[in-house]
Amino acid sequence: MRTLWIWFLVVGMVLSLSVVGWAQKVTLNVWLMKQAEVELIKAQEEALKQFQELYPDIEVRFAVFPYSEYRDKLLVAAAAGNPPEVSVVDQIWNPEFAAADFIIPLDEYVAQSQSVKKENYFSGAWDSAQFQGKLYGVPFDVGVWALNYYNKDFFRRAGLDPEKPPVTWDEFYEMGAKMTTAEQWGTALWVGKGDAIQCITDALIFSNGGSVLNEDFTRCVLDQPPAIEAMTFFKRLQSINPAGEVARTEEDSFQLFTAGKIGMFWYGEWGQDTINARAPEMDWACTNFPNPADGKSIGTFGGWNMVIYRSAPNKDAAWKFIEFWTSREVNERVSSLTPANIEAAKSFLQNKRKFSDVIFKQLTTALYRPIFPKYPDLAEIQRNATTAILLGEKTVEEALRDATAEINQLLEEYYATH
Amino acid sequence: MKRKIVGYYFITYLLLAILLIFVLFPFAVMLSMSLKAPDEQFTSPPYLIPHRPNLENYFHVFGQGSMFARYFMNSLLVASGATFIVLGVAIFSSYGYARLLFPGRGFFLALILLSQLFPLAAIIVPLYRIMGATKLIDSYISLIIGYLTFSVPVGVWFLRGFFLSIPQELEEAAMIDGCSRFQAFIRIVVPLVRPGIGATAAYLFFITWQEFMFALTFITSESKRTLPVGIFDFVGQYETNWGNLMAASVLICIPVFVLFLFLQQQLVGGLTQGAVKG
Repeated sequence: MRTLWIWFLVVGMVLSLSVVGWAQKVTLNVWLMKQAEVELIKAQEEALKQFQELYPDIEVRFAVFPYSEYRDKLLVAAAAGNPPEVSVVDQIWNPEFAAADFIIPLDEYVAQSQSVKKENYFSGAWDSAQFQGKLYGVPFDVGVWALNYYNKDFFRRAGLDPEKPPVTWDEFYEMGAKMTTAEQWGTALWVGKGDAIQCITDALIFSNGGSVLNEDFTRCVLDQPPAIEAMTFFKRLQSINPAGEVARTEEDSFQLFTAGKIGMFWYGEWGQDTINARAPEMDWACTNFPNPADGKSIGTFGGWNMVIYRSAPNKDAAWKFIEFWTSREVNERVSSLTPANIEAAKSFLQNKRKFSDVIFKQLTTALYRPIFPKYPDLAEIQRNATTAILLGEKTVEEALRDATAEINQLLEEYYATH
Repeated sequence: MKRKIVGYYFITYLLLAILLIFVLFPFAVMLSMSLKAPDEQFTSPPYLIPHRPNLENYFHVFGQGSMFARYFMNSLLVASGATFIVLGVAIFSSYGYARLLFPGRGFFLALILLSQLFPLAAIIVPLYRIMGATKLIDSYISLIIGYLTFSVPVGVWFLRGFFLSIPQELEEAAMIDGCSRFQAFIRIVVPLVRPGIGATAAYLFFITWQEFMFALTFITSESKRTLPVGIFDFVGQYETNWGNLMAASVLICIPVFVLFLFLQQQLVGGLTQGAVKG
């Protein structure tokens, strides 16, 4: 009987000690986007192993979500007080999460960090994480809208030199017009339902020296000449594109390009694999986004930033993970879009993309979208204006004047209560 | 006279053919797309019969790095678990509503019907909080419990109709012969409403098999996701892997098809049988 008691005691002590030992391990829940590529999943697992060797006391648990469910999942979990410790967020959600106080500013961590420094990342991506003077995220990966993809056969058929793609807006229009017949077109516009079309129209406006909001994001400047000229050019492209652009999505138009119906298409660098898969025979190339004769080719950034949630019990561990995951060496291996770390991006583009110089140039000058917690509402007003312009319901000036008034009202209402 | 009949058949079959094309065309496109390589998927003009049909997409759906098989098992587990529990509860309670007289019967019955008027989105937040407080978030149980909220009322309402359609005299006769009420219920009534139970079970399985919102909200780990949520793995931010998505869609339909084939007779007969006295 006595020995039995001693046994109980020993087993109990061992158990409780191991529980204490286990409890000292910090658990880090990290939410990421679902990746389909097998190689990428493997690379992530290997990188995670490496992290665990570096920090054996931090246990990282990944949860991955497909894009279409990701935002809802994050918002519900954060609102219910049950978010992960670390996640990636779309650049355009970053201010929203910051304003809702879900995530914390990272300036102090950055000040002490050896590897996370502003100059190591694309400036447009870094600035997208700024909100009211503080930094709320570290850029993880980026994409730029848009590059000009073109089908060389269209150039040859139209009597154009495929090695001299258009540089300016006028050249783009004129070459597109030469390609346009009853069955084939110069390009394909689209509006769709998401936030992607704003990336195209913003890029046109940026390239023309304009902007959507003023510098401190308090007033809309879409009614100024740079935006009006940009949208007038966009409207002009309607005549070299197949009908139905308002209902089309970016994917529909991309399909027109891979099916050989249009000669040129504005799309991001991630589209290369899809072109090769869907149109293996096509002789294609890509060049920079066209600019006005007196302007500069400027694209719009998309991409993802890494953030730390306010409710995270161990924020230092969370920061260590972010530092590791966005470092030059790891960033290159674990991202499916172009890494946000500039050095990582260079070797990523050289290894995985054609025309890497063209892409890199577009990335270094790209700008972020307006920083405003209610960006989705703002984007919707912009999209409605684009729709009205293309449908001919309003002139460019009218549409942009109305959109400016609406956006200003949105801004005023927001800042009056926040 | 004969011409009239021929004309009648002609119109009937024409309408049937139109209906069938309307119903089956999307499925045909789905099947066709699932058998095509990416370069055949979006040609202009499009064509239905693949030139080089292959099963690549299906292999990929079950291949390395894909969680599809896991999602499939999860869906099967959750849908059949929920269906069994609902049947267990609903068979007894619907019998009570059909046969027993108790105060508030009409009121509670109306309440059950009323609960069906709430959109799922309205109850999802309170349910999420309950699951969070009981630490059930991210478990199969949370989904099954969640599904009970809308499937128990459906089950009770359906089955009550079937029980009402059984003549009460049969039970009374059994009881005169010495059965207790419970015995009469188990030995006489339940076997008689078996088609109804089958039809109800099939319906419950369908609605839980395709449920999306609860599955999205309650489950976080990839290893516990169900099919309607998991299928979005093939939809990217800007691009969709259409071939894989369509192959997965075809596969998702299969259990429901099989179930329908087996239960078709009961389902059609069962649903109308209950409807008369519903």
